[in-house]
Amino acid sequence: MNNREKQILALRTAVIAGIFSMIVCLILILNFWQLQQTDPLESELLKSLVERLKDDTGNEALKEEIRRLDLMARNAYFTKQWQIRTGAYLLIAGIVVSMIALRIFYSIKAKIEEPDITESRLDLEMLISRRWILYSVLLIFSIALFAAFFSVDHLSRIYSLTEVQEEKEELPVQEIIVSREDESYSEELSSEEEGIEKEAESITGIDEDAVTEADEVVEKNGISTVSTGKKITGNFPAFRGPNGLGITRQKNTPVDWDGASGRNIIWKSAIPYSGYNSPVIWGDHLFLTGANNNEQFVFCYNANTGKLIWQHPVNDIARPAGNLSKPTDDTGYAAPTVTTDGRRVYAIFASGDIASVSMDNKRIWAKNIGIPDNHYGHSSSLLLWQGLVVVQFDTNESGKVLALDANTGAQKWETMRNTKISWASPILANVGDHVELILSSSPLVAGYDPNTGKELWGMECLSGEVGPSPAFSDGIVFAANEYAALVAIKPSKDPDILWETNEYLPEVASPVADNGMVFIATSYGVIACFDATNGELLWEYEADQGFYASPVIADDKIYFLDLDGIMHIFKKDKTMQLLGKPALGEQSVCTPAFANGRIYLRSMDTLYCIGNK
Amino acid sequence: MKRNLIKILSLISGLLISLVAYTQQRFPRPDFESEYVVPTPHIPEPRSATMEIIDVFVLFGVLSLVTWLVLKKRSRRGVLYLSVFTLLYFGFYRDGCICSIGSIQNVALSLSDPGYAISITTLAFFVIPLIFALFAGRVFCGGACPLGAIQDLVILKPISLNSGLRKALGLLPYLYLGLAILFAVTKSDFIICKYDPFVGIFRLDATFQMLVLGGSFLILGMFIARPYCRFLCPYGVLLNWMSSVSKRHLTITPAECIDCKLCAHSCPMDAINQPVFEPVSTKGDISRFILAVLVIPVWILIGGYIVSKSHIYLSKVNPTVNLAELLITRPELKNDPDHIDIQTFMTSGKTLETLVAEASVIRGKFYYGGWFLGGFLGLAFGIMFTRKTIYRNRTDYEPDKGNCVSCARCMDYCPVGKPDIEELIKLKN
Repeated sequence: MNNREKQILALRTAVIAGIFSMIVCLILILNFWQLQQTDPLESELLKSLVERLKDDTGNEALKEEIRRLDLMARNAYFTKQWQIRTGAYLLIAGIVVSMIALRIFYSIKAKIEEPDITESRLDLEMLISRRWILYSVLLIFSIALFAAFFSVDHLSRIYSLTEVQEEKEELPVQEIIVSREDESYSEELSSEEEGIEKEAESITGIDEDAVTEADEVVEKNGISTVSTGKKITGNFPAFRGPNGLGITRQKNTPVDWDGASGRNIIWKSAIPYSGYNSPVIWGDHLFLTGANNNEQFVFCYNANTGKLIWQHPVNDIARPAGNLSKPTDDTGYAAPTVTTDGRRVYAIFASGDIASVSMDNKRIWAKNIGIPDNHYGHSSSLLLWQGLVVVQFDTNESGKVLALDANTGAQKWETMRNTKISWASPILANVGDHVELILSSSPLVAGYDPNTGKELWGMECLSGEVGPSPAFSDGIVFAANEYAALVAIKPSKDPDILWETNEYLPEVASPVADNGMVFIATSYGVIACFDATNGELLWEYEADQGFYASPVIADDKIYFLDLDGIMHIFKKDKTMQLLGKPALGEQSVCTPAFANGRIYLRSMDTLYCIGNK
Repeated sequence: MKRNLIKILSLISGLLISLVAYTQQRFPRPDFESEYVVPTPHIPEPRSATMEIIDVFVLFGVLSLVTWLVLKKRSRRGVLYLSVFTLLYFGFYRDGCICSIGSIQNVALSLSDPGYAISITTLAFFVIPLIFALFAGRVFCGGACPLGAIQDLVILKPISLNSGLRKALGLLPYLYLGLAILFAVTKSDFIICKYDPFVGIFRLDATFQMLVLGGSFLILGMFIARPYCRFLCPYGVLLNWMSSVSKRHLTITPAECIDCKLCAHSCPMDAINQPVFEPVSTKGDISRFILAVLVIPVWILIGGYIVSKSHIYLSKVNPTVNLAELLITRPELKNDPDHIDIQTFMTSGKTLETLVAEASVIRGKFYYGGWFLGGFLGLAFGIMFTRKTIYRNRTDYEPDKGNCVSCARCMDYCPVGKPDIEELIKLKN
């Protein structure tokens, strides 16, 4: 075979290989275009069937249809993948053959070039080279200067930007419906109630005059920056009420109802997802959460009508690596109670997901603060303090309390605690000249500066698995746990245990204290009243069923809800005076909420509003 | 007509090959509503350390063989076949990693960060080619670099570039080297690896943009020989320095040059220097040379000042700085569950103030690094400019020791030492 024949052969081989490559390319393009048009993984039919299955979970025929379609989609996908990969190899092979053939063709065709006759001008070449180099460097440096001139250093703007953002932040305009201005919510307070209000307001650091002016501004503009003392105490914004103390300002609260017959039941509504958190009310907004192992929701009901206004899914939150242990059935995925400041509601779940949702159902922020290592399930409720969301996060790994910025979710402070796991919730208490955040766990009962998280005092006095939250009254902290003790602590730099008793101790329900009395409800059905100053047992009462819900003081009465849904109502007195035992007709473990002159109870899957009709 | 058809076929094929990897998608994990727990995927074991040692020996063996082929055997065919082996082994089999070019960053980082441990293999890949360049020229480029090999194999109809343009583009490798070291030292990015145009082809998998980039370089390489090697490769800067003072180097003629000029245009890389019989330096040339030398420190200062001023812009490459600025300028992204970097930060427990403080420290490093980078560029420019003010006496056609990649193409053009010239003339006719 001579060179000419070789050349022709090489050229034809190159052309054929090139055409082959082109055809394979076109097929790949077609394949790609087909995939873009009808992605087997994005089948609308499959999606619609899955949606239907959510409403009809028992439909076996539907499940089979979904499985069949899903298998078809997967087969189609993997077939496409095989086609793409095979096509790619064929394409590469075609191109390689084409390139080799072309090289052979050109090498055969190549001739030795005739040498240049003319000599090049070296000095001219050098001059041109120098100029090119100079212009290139000037171009590079100009680009660098241009970039430097127009670059904005955003890092230095952070502090001024934070202030501007806080000024400009537009909060949703809320028509804040304050509770009905009738006998159920009286502005004329007795001296005792004034004391409660002053204490609650002093916790927020706002005096009454400022509160009044601030209230006017708030009412006029519908914008709130910091919730005022009156608004906090006038609503039921957290677990066990304002500041978590178990005391509410509500008046003329009902003492008689019957869930079965509907007497004094103003409304009742189904709750889509189970949870053991208690209702929280602000104005005419009532908040709950519910969750299962897949989904988490914040629910907002109209407190006047019971209508579900919105439900907000708390999902798609990035979590750190690790598996969430299944909580026990009596804790569930939504045990912690939400808290609200009237602008937003803040919720936390057993997964460690925490979210802030506005009153009009917009997610403000959401994050995960770590998957709690908690063998029952995380149940410590949230509390708000001056724009901070406080989280008690005691797990099997470690104990800590942290505060997040209510506006952004950014962590403001975190304090590690030398404690074991607990399920209690924090409270806020005015201990004299300052407000403290008080937490209860094993073995430590401690007070913290809510602004910085700094531990102010601590007393190791409890043991076991601490579920009850602390109580506070008249400068004394009360903490209790079953198989440990009921302890009265005088908080200070050197705290003292004033007295302790182990006569009747709560397992789950938190104690409540007021007016020189401490009230306990045990899981084996005993209600006990102790003298707050010396621990003397004043009276006791035995119910047929135990208590998980925490007692709440309202309208000079104290409400105890047992596991059968029977509310044992006593007069807040050093002598036992039973005022009523209305029955819900359903089991309940959730602490009652008081607002708008009404009582809001949550059974296992129903929400009740009880009031005088 | 046929030539145009071939060019068109090659062009379209090169572009379309990029679609291959673009169509690959990930299969989403199905959602299980039952108690089924998806098993944790196991990460495959890393490549055995023994194999990495073998790679070093293969590299050494290939370099030795190329050196022998270029200096002793003078065989272009041998270098070609060895290039194919390099492409297959270091390119397709080893997926283009570790490569000597990227090892610059590892070495730079290890020198600046005592906590960063560089492997012996990486260090060997960095050092061995430089040592060979010091003694035998850029033999690494000729037959041991997979990037060079793939470009060399697609050269079809190379065109000669204007010398001024070549010099101007010759600044880019210095810029790339400086930036690569700056970003590596500040732990911002390994840009050499990130923007390696051929790694996607080696791995048959890359983003659409990377495959387009690689395909474009290959198509360009058909007509402008080895574009990456000549105008971008940062390792080429170091090899250039070593090769410029190498003890031995590829020569076009095995004996005395007969000035037949047959090799004048034989180099597709325009790396052959023509003879200069009569030095033409004048008084003006000497003054210009002295001035150019004296101005070099000024260029260093100017370069350092200008590039240091760009530290704000350059530092945005760093992920910490970028995240901090993103959170400041677009705080609403905190609520975006799809933004993985922000969500990771939000769950980390770190405050924005802490992040900003860290970012500010990094930005400060860029400021000082900018001085070094700009000074280095100023020095490189100054030396490059100065070299164009003096004339060197040269009697033969010689490969430029710094720019010649030792591909041995020019050797085939030289008749000296080959069967007698009459035989060649007969072949030509």
